[in-house]
Amino acid sequence: MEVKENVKKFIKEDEAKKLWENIYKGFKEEGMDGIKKVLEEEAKRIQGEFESIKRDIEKQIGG
Amino acid sequence: MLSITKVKLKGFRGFVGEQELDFSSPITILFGENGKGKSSLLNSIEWCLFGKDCIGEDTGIRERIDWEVKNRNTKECYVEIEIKENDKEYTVRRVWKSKTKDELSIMLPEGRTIYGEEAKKELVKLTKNFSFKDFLTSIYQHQEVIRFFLVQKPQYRNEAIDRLLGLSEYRNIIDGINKVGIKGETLQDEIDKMSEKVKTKIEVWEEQIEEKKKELNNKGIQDNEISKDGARNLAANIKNSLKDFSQNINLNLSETFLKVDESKFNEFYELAKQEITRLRSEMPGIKKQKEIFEKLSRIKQDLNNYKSAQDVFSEKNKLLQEFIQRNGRIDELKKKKTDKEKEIKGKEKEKEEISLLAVLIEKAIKYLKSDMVINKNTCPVCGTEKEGLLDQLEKDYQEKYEKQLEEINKELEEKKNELKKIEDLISEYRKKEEDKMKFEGEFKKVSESIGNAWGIGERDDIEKCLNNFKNTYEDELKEIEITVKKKQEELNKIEGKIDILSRIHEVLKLESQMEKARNIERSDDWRKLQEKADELKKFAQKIEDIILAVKQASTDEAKSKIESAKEKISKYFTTITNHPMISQINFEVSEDPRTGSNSYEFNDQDKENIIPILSQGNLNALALSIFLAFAESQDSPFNFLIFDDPSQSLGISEKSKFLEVLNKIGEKRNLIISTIDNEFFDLSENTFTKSKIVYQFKDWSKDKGPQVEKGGET
Repeated sequence: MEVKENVKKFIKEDEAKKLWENIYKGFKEEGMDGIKKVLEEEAKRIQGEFESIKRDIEKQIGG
Repeated sequence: MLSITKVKLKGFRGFVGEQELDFSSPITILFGENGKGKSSLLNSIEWCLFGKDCIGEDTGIRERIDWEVKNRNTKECYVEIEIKENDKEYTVRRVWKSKTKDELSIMLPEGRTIYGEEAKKELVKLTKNFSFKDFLTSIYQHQEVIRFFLVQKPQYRNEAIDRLLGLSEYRNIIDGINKVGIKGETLQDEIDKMSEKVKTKIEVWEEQIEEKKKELNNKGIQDNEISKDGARNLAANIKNSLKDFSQNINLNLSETFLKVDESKFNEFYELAKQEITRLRSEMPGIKKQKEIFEKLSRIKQDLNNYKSAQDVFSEKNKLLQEFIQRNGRIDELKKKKTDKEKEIKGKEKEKEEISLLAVLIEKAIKYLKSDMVINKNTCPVCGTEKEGLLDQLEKDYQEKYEKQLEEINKELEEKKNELKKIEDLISEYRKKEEDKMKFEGEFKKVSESIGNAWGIGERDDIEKCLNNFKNTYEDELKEIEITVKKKQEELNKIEGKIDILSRIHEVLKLESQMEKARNIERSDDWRKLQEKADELKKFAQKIEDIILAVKQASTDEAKSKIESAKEKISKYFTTITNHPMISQINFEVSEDPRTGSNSYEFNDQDKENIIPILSQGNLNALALSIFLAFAESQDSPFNFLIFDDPSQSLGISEKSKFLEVLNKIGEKRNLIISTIDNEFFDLSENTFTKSKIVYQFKDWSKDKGPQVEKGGET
């Protein structure tokens, strides 16, 4: 069986399964860099939103 | 099953020109030293069948990262292999186009050639969807795997076994995920830091507010006035004060200021300041003050000019008067000159007279001395006779006339010098008089100009008049200054109120900020911030779950593969090594508690770990046994096996046994064996019972690539 399916069997949550599929796709297409892209993209999105809210708060309380 | 009958290649890795090699015999041996092109030839079969799948990081072969397919000295690169399935023949051809692109074509048994996607599908069908990973574990024994297996560090051996079992992908994915290093707590840490920062800020603001309030108290402001209402009242008061003030000095306040809302402090503050600046500059008295300043400045300038012209003129006059005092007036000097000229004339006349007489006597002496005169005592002028006349005349001439003339000449010289001095004095007098008159004129001009400018009469004393004007203006200025100062003080007072208003506002601002900060952790934004931190935690948790699942899947697949091949591994190992202490091998996998990766154990019949007692040769034999076992267990579409330098550390007995095993396998499958080992090569000559082709890789050059000789067929 394919690695992709083998791993999927051991993941319970649907969201994690989806993330795994993206990781695997990234790996197949661009190797380690592909994994990095997939994970960093999501982490950066969360971090970016966090930073934006943080800036708003800092403005409110005066830097 | 598929067998390879021929390989044709050009420009692939170590190969330069086109070469064609026959693989139709059951056994093909490639023999030669390292670096002569044997591995390139074997790699070309992989590349032709699997293309870019056999290149890069996810192959699990370190050497394949940045692996170059095309030889740098050729323009063209292709590999063509003829494969046979039963009686059908296919020619698979792959042409290199770029680092990321190649072109696949297959010539079908009926002679038609298919390309691109159609060719890919046909190849998948022919190879029964056999992946490169499968090929690596059960068809092509790579020399790198054995090298890794022989390394004593368990971490590297486990990695090599993963590769033998085709599990590298799991390991690479875990490495890839771990490399990114996402930490779920990162944002929570930031929130905690922010929370601390907010607390510190509140403390600082509390102190600042306390301090500012104290300062205001000291200025007479009560606590109840330090409030919004207090600030509004004060602003209204400031506005009224400015209104009163402007009315008093007959000036108007700007409409903008009159309309501004007192509670909009910043705007009010700026406009009030602007109004004060304007009132200060436009207030009556200020203009007059300016005019007087200008007049005083002009007076000062004129006084300076007047004094300076006067001083120069006085200096020149003084010099002339001093000269007159020393040398007399000009008419006296002129008289002196006339007198001196008369004296010189008299002296010159006297000199002339004496000179005439002297000439006469000189002539008489000359006459008397001549031979014509007999009587030397008779005077040739008057005829008088005198004893010793010539001697007397010579004596008189020398003592009287010569001496007299000498004295007269001397006196004349002195008088002429005196005359020269008098003339010089007259000339100096004229120069000084000229100077005096010139600066007298200048002085008159300056006086006239100042007089006209200030209306001072010709007979008036300019300096005195200017000083009088100066005193008058200074007095006037003092009066204006007193009035202006009073007004400025009024404005200063209003400014003082603005300053207090500003301080109250600062306190209010700080209080408002502090209030906001106190409530920030209960705000919607803070809740959203926390949500984002939780999202990252969840994301990191998902990644952790995935890593765990990858590890579990890897172990699971390893277990299942080992289960299907463990008996064969044991059989091959004991056959090749004939180890006296090991009659059976139990190959097992578990999860390494430290790394979570697969950890492999090889135990003997008594469940004792055999790795510590295995030699390098034994370890190589173990690696080969695992490969052979999987080669046999896998349902493979290929009827051949490839071995690249399989005898790396084997002893002669192990080599011999290994060849026997290969010979047995060779009954069912074709073998392609690459070796640098003379002993192994010689043993193979006598071991294989099937017919074989030997290729000797004699040499390799940059321009021609490998020099391959067909060593004979048996």
